[in-house]
Amino acid sequence: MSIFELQREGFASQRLAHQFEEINQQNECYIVGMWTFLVTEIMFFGALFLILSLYRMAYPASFEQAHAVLLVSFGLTNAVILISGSYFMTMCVRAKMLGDYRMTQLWLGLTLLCACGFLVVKSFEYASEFKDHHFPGPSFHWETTTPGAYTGSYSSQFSTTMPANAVNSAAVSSTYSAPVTQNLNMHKRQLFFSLYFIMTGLHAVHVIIGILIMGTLFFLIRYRHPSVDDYMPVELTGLYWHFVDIVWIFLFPLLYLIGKQ
Amino acid sequence: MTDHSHDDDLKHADHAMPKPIIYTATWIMLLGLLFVNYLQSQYLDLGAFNIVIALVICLIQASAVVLIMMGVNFHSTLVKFWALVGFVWLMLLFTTLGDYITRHWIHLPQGW
Repeated sequence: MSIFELQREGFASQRLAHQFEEINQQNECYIVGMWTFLVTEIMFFGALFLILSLYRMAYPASFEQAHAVLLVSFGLTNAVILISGSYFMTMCVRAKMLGDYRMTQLWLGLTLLCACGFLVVKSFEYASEFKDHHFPGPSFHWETTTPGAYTGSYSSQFSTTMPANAVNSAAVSSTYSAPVTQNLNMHKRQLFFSLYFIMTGLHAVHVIIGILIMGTLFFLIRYRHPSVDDYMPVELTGLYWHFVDIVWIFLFPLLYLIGKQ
Repeated sequence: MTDHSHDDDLKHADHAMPKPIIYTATWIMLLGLLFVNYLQSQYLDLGAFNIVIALVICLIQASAVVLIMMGVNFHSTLVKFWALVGFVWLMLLFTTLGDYITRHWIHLPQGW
């Protein structure tokens, strides 16, 4: 038998709800409903990716300097964790379809571990960014001595060791003197970090929601609750979790890798 | 009135899904593409093509997740259509970038 052949036998039975004519219609209805939700999520994240693209095109040099200070090792570790979590989730759905509760629990537990691991790595990364004063706001601070910072000709013309608010008084100058240009660049870098924190923060919120849903499912499956007799709750959670993975697949190169060359 | 709690309601759906090895192969492929993307960004500077390469790799990865791991390839045409709707929306959204890119191609008079 070829490995590409689809398995069609050995699946656990499902209960047909009275409003449906047959079980395939019921399953399709659940999945289309979930995809409708995911389409709204695509619209939501899509708009943020569009904003990132727009401002990156508008301020390429400042954005490249800001890209360069993000630590790729954190982003890469999280990408590996999420892709692995997606694989474990797929295996979990498969086990539930086959009615294997023990394996469902095992794969779901591994997926939960990956989700928690992602948040642990992310919290270390956020801590390092807060420590370096990269969070947008009055405490935002930028130094050329930041590890991995861009040191090309664009930034070397001006001293970049002054805090953003220290040069505000110079902005009244009608000509583009060095401090004024520096202030503008500081605002552009803050814009990048605003987008970075909004996008990764919203993604992290989705991960937390995923943990809550998967944690609930884990206990329902553990105690054989009737609501999880059907495999659909696991399948729909899986769709959500794969979406969270896809968002990171795009976030990782667009935030961490671009501008590293 | 029909009693729907009866075991007659237990049905077998017309399921179809690939063998686990396909999922494992997809996982390895996704990790492989991730490292290709990482290595390219660190050691190979292709100028303006850096972002093109990165996005092409991302699109291949996202397609593999949608088609195989999310199982869209094994579902009905309606599910395939619905999944496609989201990506058509994304394409429409990103066509607005064309406005920003081409805005200063035409030199308009400054006005009064």
